[in-house]
Amino acid sequence: MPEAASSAPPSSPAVKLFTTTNFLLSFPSIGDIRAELNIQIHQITISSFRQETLPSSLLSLEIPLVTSPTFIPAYVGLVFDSRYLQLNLSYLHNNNKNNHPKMDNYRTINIDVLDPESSTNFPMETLLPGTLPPPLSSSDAAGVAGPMLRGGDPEGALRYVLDTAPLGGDDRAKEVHMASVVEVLQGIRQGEMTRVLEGVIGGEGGSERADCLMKYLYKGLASPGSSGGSQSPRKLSPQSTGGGFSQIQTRNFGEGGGGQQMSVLLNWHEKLVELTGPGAIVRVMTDRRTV
Amino acid sequence: MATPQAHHLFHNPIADHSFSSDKQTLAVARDSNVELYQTAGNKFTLTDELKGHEKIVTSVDIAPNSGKIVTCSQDRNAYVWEQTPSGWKPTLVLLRINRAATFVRWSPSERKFAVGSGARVISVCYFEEENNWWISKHLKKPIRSTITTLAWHPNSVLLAAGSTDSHARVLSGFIKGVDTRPEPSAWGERLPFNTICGEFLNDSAGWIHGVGFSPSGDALAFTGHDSSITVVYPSAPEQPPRAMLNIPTRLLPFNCLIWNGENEIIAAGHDCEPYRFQGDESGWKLTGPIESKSGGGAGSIREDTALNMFRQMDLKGQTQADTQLKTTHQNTISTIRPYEDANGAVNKFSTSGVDGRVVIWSI
Repeated sequence: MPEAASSAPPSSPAVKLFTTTNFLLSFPSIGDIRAELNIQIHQITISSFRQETLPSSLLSLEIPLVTSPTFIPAYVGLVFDSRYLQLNLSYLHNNNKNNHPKMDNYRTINIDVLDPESSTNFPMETLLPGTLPPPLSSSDAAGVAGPMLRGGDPEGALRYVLDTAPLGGDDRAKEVHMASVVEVLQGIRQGEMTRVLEGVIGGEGGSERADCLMKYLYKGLASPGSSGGSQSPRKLSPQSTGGGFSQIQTRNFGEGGGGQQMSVLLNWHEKLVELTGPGAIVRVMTDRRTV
Repeated sequence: MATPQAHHLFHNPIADHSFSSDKQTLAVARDSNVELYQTAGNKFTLTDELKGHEKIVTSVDIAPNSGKIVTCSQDRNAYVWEQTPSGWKPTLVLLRINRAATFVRWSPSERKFAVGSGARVISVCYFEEENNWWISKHLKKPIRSTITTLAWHPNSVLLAAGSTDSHARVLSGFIKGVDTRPEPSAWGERLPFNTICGEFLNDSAGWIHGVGFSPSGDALAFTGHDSSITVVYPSAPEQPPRAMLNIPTRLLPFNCLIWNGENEIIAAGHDCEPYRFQGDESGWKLTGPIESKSGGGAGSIREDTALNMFRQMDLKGQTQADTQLKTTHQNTISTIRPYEDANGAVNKFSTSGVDGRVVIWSI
């Protein structure tokens, strides 16, 4: 059983079960680290050991368990029960050998990651189709769509930004592209909306473009507005669920300047639903190819 | 098209319904019981109740030839009910699952049935004479989530399954000693138990609600929560399909579908009325609703005249009585089944839904 918490020095690391086989230690300060981990699960002790000098940028250390990966899942049920779990951590910080704090925050262990049946371990990548475009790390759609928009071809501009949506891209590319889409949407006059929309969602691949536009509208409505479609990507809210089912991002109504963008997006939403019906809205919810 | 024949049975959702082959008996899953209705003229009267399940019955199926009824429930059990002179006698089938059973269907041969479940397995159950007992075998891989729907291939060996992992799969449920070896087809030549003959995923990846083989068994259609239906034409074993056509619609998602011949699919769901799709390998399209609402539909509201509006406001304090839908079904349709068919062509079909109605439609 853990000793009294008072025996832990102020600089003791936080220990977290990282995956089924790794522990993650987060250190409050930088220095020479020697970490040793003893986990005792119902009379069986697993020891892991790693010594490293942490660079100044890294404050955490991952310790792999020296055991077969099949071992831990078999004891998942026991890990939940504090009676069977004893997690002893001894580590060396700044060459001070006398610190042997006991792990006492095992109740904060994220047990869901240990359960292979848990929904958080559902392999989300299996929901992505094989036809997904290759991942991009940037988007230069604004460079093409901007001149098209100013050159009097709003339909072509909107068609272009929807066709080049980085469905397989990283968050940064998606944010940059989002800004381009909003810029195009804001650059089209209200009187022209219906005509442009009919052109964009007609023809070959039109329904995909309609679904894609609907995704951008909902993403724009869900995120705090950056008015004028500025190129500075907004900070993404941390995805604490780590690949869970939730697509919801935190809303922030407090950050001003988004009101005008919201009304533009709502206008587009109204026009788009007239043409695509509720089907496109339903597909925004099911589709894992997020924008 | 004749007017649909609507039977409002009760004010509870109908999870599933099934007609006997002579259309005299209708089995309806209601809460934790299955109610049996007999036709009397143009009406259905409650004659019997199958009681035994402890939790909500999720699915019921009457075998057309033997008349045996199979039911499954959220209590993780399935029962096979046989009619005896002293009433319906249940036989418990151990499914060996630790989550709710969600869907059950007899194979066309009626010698086995398949039960989908939340335990990420399909139990294929068959009767073992020497032990006088139903045995279940599990189809496990590569299912990653709850099975929501099942459909048998006409050869009684292949099984299509839809799941909440957004995949529709075709698996082999071949049981040695029960099934005869199936003819080789585009799905596969040798088909031992748990052969994966196909795994299909839509681009927009919704939960799969309904699956169905075409009458010949050479095409598969499935519908998902992305408001689309997808038709797959397999080419050869181990090969990518010859064609996989996705038809996104502007409607709400469909829960179920049936084939009418090789070139028509009827699907119904959250829009409370059945829709017709037509096409072939080169392309499919939504042709429109089956119900003609020109007459305003059954039990429709009167014209919204000014007088009527003010009367409503005066009597009920509301501007419009908008709780009534123009469709025959007043809520989501959850099951669609062929009612009368010949050689794969459906003349009549039946639907049931959350509104407690069973409706028989003629095409």
